[in-house]
Amino acid sequence: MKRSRGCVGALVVGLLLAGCGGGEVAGRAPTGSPTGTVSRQPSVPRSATPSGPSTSSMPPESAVVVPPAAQAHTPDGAKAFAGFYLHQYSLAAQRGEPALMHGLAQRQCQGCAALEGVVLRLHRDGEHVDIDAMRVNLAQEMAGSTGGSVIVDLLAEELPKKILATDGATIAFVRGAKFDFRFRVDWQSQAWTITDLRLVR
Amino acid sequence: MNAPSWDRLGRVGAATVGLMTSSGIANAAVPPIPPTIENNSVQALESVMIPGSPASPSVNGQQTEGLSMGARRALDLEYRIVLACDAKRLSDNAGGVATNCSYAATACSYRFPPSDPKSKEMLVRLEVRPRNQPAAGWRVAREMCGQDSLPPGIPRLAVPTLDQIQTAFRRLPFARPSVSVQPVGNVTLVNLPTYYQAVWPRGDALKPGDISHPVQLLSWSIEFAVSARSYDFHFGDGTSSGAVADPGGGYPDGAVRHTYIEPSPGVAVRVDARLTARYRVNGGAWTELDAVADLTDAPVTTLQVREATARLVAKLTPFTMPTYPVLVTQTELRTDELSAVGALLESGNVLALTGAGISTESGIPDYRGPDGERRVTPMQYSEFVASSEARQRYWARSFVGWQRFNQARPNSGHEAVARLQRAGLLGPVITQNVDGLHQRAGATEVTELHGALARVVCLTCGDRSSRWDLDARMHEANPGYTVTSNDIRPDGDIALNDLDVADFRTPTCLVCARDTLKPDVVFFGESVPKPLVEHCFRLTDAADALLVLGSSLKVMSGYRFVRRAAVRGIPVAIITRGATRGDREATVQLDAPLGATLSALVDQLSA
Repeated sequence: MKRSRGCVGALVVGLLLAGCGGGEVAGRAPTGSPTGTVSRQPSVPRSATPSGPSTSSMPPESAVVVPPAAQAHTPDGAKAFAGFYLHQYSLAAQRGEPALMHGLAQRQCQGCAALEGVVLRLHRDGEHVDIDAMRVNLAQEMAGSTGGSVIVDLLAEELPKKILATDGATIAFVRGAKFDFRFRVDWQSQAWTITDLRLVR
Repeated sequence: MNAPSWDRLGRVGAATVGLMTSSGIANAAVPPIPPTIENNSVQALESVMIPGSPASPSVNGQQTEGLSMGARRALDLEYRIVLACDAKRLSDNAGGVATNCSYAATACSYRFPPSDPKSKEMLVRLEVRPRNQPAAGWRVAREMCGQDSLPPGIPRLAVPTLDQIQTAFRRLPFARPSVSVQPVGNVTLVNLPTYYQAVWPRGDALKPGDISHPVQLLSWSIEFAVSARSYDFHFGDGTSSGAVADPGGGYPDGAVRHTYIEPSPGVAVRVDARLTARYRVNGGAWTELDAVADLTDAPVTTLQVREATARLVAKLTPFTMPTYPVLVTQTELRTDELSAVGALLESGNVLALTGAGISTESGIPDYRGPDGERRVTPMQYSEFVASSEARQRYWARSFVGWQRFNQARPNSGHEAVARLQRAGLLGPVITQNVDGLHQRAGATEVTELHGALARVVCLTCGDRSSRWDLDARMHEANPGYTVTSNDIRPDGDIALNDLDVADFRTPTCLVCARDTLKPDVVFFGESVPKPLVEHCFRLTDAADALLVLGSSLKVMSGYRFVRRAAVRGIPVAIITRGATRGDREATVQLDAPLGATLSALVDQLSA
C-alpha cells in the first residue's frame, strides 16, 4: 500500500520513472534524462559526492526527479533547487515517503536531517499529513554567495495540517507557521545539493 | 488519573485519555478530540536556528569576527544601519527594476517568532568597519527586525514620517482631467440634459490607475498607486455637481448630467478632481494612504448653450424624449446636425467605418434596405466549402456578376471620403465592402474588413491570384457563356437559374489544380481573421471619433467597433439610410443619402 503511494508520488513529481510497481529501483546515475530532468535514485549514492546522501537508511522506494529550473547552474537555479527541496519535504510528509527527499542534501546539513527526521518518524509510525502544506512565498539570494555556493533565503509558510493514521483517523492538528529558511546550496558533481539549512529567528 | 504523555510531535502516549466534560469524565467510548500541537517543522529545526542576538555569527560569514584583531582590540569601529536590500534595486513594478526590498519588507513577519505584520518592521542590517580604514568595505554585523534592539550610540536609520509621505504624494506630477460633453461639438440645448465626463489626458503625468515611479524618502523607496477620490463638475452657470465618485459618461448612461435653463454664448465647464493613493515601502505590501491631492488649474471647456427648436421636440413627449441621437430624416437634413458631424471631423483624427450603403450609388446594391431587412440570401461559407456543386454555382453566378461589378465606379460619397482624408479631416477607413471603390476614389489607409473581390485564394494550397486573371481564364474555359442578369449582389454574386449553372465550367487553381478557388472575401458564416479585427480595434482606440457611413451595423463584424468606441467614450456619428443597430451608441445620426450628405459636408468644411 505504501509502496504504491510512493510510486504515485514519483509520478507526480517526475513523470514516468523506472522502479514503480516492481518494488526495486534500477541503479541509475544522476544524469539528465531524455525529458530534461535529473533522477536521483535513493539506493545509489552518487559516486562523485564525497559525503554521500544524508539519509542512507531511507527505504529505496522512489526516485527524486529534479525539475529543469532547479538544475541550472545559476543563482536562480540554486533558488529553485532550495524551493524544490522544501516542496519535496512537504510532499514526503504528505505521502509518508522519506525517499522523496533522498539525495538532495548532504550529510553535514543538520537542518536537512531534522526535516528528514520528521518524515522518517511519520513513515515509521505509518502516518502522514493530510496536505502538501508548504508554500514558498519569496526566494532571495543573500550576500556572501559565490558561483558554486549560493546562500538562499526562502520565506515560506506551512499551512495548518493534520497528522493522519494509516486508516485516515486524525492523530493531531498541527499549527501553521511561517519560516525564514536560510539554505546554503552548493554546486557539486554537476548538480545542486543542500549543504546547510537553518531557520532564521 | 495520570496526565497524558506526548512525544515531540504531540502524539498521545500509552495513557488512556478521557474527556473532561461538565459532568465529569465522559464515556470511555467517546473518541478523544485530537490535540492541536505546535508546528512540527519548527520544532524539528529548533537546534539549527540562527539566533538574532548581536553576537551571533552569520551563516554567510559576514560578521564582526571577520575584522582584523587589531581593529577589534582598538574597538575603533564605526557602524551604520541600512535596509537589508541592495541599493540599486528599488522597485519591483511590473516591467520595472527588480528588487529584493520585498524581502526586507516581509522577512520579519516570517522569522520565528514572527513580528506583527501590522508593525511593518523592516529587516535592517547593522554594518561595521574600522574607523581608521574608510577604504575598507562595510561588513554585516547582524540583521535585525526593526531598530529597537540597536545598541546605543549607533545612529538610527532615518525613516520618513507619515507627514513626509503624504507631502511626497501631493507633489507627484499629476495630470489634470478635462470635461468631455455630450452633445458633441461643445454645443448643447437648454431644457435638455447635457452629459459630462472627466477625461484624463494621455501622457506620462499620473492619473487614476497609474503607479508612480519610486520616490526616495530618506532610506525608503516609496511607490504610490493613484486612484480618484472624487470629482466636482462645475457647469459654468454657477452650479456644480458637488463631490461625486463617478467620473461621468455619455448618453444614455452617464450619471453626471445637468440641464441649463438659460442660453449662453459660452459657459466655462471644468472638473476639479481629488486623488488619493495606496503606497508601499521598498516593495512591501500596499497600504492605504490617508491623504488627498486637490488638483487645481483644470482645463476649461467652453460650452455654447442654445435655445431648443421646435422641430426637435414636436413629435416627442417630455418623458420619452430621446435627446440622443438626433434623428433627422432625409427630407429635412439640417445644417445643425451636419455641423455636429463637421465638428467631429475638425479634430482631424476620425476613423471611418463604411458599409454597403456607400456603394449603392455606384450601382452595387446593399444586402439590406432602409428597413434593415436582408433582401438577398448570400451563399454561406459552409455551403461554399461543402461541395464542388456549390462552388460551381457560386462561380457561374459570380462570372456573370463580375462583368457588371467590375464596371462600377466610385461615386460622390467615395470621392468625399478621399477628399476628407486629403484635407486631413478623416483618418483611416475600415470598409465592410469588397468592391475596392474607396481605393479607386483615391482613399488611403483602407482596411478591407471583409476582403476584396479583386483577389482569389485557393483553399487547398493557399495560392493567391488576381480576379482579373481568373476572369480571363473563366472566359477561355466557358466560351460562349453569355448569360446575363440585372440582379447583381453586393459581393458580385448574381441570381442564375440552375440550367445556366450546370453549363458552367468551374475554374481550378493553377498551382494545385483543385476546384477550391474562393474569392478572397469573408463569406457570411465565416470569421474575420483575428489579427485583422485586432488591427481595427487599435484603429478605433486611437481615434477621437468614429464616423459610420452607409452601414446598418446589423453584422457584428462592424458593429463591434461602434460598441468599442462607445465603451471608450469615443463619439460615434452615423450617416446612413434608415435605422441602425448602433443608434443607441450614436452621438449623432443622420438618416440621409451618403453622396449628397458627404458632399455637403465637404463643402461645409471647405467654406
